[in-house]
Amino acid sequence: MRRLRSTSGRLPIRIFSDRIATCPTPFTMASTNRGGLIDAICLVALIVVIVTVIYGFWLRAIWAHGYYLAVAVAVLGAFVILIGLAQQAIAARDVATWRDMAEWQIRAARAAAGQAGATQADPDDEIEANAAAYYEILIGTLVAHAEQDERSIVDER
Amino acid sequence: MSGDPHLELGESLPRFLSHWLAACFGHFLMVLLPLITDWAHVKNATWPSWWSLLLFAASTSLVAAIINANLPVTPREMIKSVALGFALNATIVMLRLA
Repeated sequence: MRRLRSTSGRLPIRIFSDRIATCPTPFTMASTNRGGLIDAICLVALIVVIVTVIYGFWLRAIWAHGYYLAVAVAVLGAFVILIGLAQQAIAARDVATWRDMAEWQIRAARAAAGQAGATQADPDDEIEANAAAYYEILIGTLVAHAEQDERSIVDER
Repeated sequence: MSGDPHLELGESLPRFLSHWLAACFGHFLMVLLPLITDWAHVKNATWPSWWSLLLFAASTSLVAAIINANLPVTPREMIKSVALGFALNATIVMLRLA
């Protein structure tokens, strides 16, 4: 549990910011560029292994016909692995889409909150809880808190 | 890269199953590579029955799957499971346990 920091924000609440924003370090920035290439190479290697195993079972099956069942089991296992990998890729893409949508929403709320703050004379005034601007400023403050938390965690390292 | 690594990598049944399958393929690769490289000499050698080979691979790969069950299902991590299955079989062959 991280302790609550009384900073300049309006909301004295604790935020679990680990899931909201990931801080790019030099290592992760370099590895995202390389990660796709290494993944592709590993996928090729995995397929080569699977094909080699099926071919080997096939060679054996020519001499011992019972091994045709082993070929069938190996083909089934290969299908399960490849379908699992494809499902993972689809799920990762969906998560990325959701994250994009959430980020877009947050940016829009921030822009709206910025406009609301510009029109008001004093932004620290009490806002009516039912006003639309209230929620926009709430989101903006939450995001600010999360980013501040993230930055202080990085600084502690 | 933050916090306890045991909390970041979660174990789940799909991960366990896919790493178990990958380790089985590594085990089979160790068994079958001599057949592919020395095909003319090995064809008359005594081979275990196909079902005992499958059961042997399944049982030894359980160790690899238990170790790797908290890794995500990506080609990069699957290759590690393949290598572990291969290595486990090589260990058993060298120790003449089976």
